[in-house]
Amino acid sequence: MTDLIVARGLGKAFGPTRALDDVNFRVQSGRIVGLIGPNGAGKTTALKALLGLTRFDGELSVLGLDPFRQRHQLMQDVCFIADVAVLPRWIRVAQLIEFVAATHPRFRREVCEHFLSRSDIRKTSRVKELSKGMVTQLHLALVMAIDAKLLVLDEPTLGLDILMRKQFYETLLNEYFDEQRTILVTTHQVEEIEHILTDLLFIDRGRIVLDATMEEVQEKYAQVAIRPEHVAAARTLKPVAERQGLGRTHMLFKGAEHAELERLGEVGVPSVADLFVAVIQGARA
Amino acid sequence: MNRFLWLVRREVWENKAIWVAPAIVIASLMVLVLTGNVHLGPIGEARDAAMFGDVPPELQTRLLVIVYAGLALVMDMVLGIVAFFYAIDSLYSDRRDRSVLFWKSLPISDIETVLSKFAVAAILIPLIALAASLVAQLVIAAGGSVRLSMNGLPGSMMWAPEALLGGFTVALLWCVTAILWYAPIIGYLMLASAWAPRGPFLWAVLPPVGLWVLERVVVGSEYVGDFITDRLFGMYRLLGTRNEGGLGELERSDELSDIGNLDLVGSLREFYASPELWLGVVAAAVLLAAAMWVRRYRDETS
Repeated sequence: MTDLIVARGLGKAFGPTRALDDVNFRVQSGRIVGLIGPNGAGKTTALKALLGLTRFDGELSVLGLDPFRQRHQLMQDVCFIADVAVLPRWIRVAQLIEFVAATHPRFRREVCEHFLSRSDIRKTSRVKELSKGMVTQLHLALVMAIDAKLLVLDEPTLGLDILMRKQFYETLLNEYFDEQRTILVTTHQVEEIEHILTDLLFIDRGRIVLDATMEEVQEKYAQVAIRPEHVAAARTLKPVAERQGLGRTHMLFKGAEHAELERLGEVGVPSVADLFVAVIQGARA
Repeated sequence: MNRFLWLVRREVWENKAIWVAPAIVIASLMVLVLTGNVHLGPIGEARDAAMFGDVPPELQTRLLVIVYAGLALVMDMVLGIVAFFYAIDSLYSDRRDRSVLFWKSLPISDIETVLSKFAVAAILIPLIALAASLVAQLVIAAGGSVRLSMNGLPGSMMWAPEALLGGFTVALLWCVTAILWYAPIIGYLMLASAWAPRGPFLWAVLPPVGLWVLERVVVGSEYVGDFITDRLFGMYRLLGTRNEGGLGELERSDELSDIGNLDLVGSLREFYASPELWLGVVAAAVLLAAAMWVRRYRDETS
């Protein structure tokens, strides 16, 4: 496995506010990385820096290239959906496919046609005549037909209903992703992507607050539904988070012995959402 | 098909005015001719036709050159306006609807994008004007010959090769000269289009017009105004005011007898030898480079 993305001391300031502050991380090929953070945490700024859409301080290498200076070259191997519904509204579906096929050397037309054939999108329609869900399907079909090394998705399913969102990620995982490809995704709906992620990057206030693979998370963190009689004992083990639910107190532990936790209650794998809340609160405390 | 041509094709898909506007002009001409409402020189009421028939043949040809050249100038003006608005919107409309984020996800450099849009405004639109002028001339020639023969005159007058060739030459001359002459205006409008945070029309038009008015009010002189009007219309001046018998004669002459044989070669020589033209070309290159730079480095979405 090689490092596809290397960020060292990555920074970006808008006036006095630092959108990215000394950010360091690596992304290896063949991973699906979730870049997760609250609003205004710097997710979009980080993605824009990776895609060469904005200037930055520090060092950043994507596929061995400087994304800002070598943007044109980078776009041969990188593909992105920066936002929902950014396809030009005036264009017809057939024209769009024709244009991408003519200008993108890695576009495989038949793959795109295959994905579209399963949707209700008609090739004679204009983009503005399609529903929001269809526009996203169309964009995904185009992007998945491009044989890119890195796919960046920034809130790709915003505003779509839950069926659409599920379908979106299932298609992505089952029909697009493989060891040669890397996906970097940001979203608010963490629950929907946690089962497809291999790596987590939490970002808050312009800083990376968690950088771990899912295996590491499962090793390090444990969610325990504490039996009522053990609550006080459990608190001495310094849980990183605690919440009440259905007659049980749920505590999140970091680096605690599993055997010890087993005595306090049922041990489970924490959800990304719980982990996220705990880590962000911990980082801010 | 070549990549660059695909980029140009995309522009034609998006901006239908490029071919719809001349098509409307031609369709209107057809309607006017068919309903007999055209009063372009000889083609009108029976009286006009009869008068035309009385004119000596040599003058008939010159008259027709004016008619055909006039059609070309109308077409040029219409497509000039189309090019103006096209250039103003060229690097703004995809930022307004955010589709720039899609276009920028394709491996197309900003240099290619800007050049393709410039090629549409500065080269493709003049070529379309040329083709549309030709069609318009043929429409009027056909309509006119019907009208003349209805009045007992030979319709073939309208098809006099010298007349058609004269009209066509004017159209061709405009096409080849406009491409270089108007390049700096297109470059300026595209820079404004790439740069404007919103409302590119105002950003493009206000600075020159504002300077013009300011100079007039404060200093009382009109250098800015002269500069602008000269860039807009100076092409016609260069094409033959100092040149006896040049194309400029067409515009100035009130009397038919003034129109001599056009000295086209002299006109073109004068045009291509003028430093104003080549300074403009240099300015266009600088403005385009600036537009590319802004397109490449401005932060789209923050």
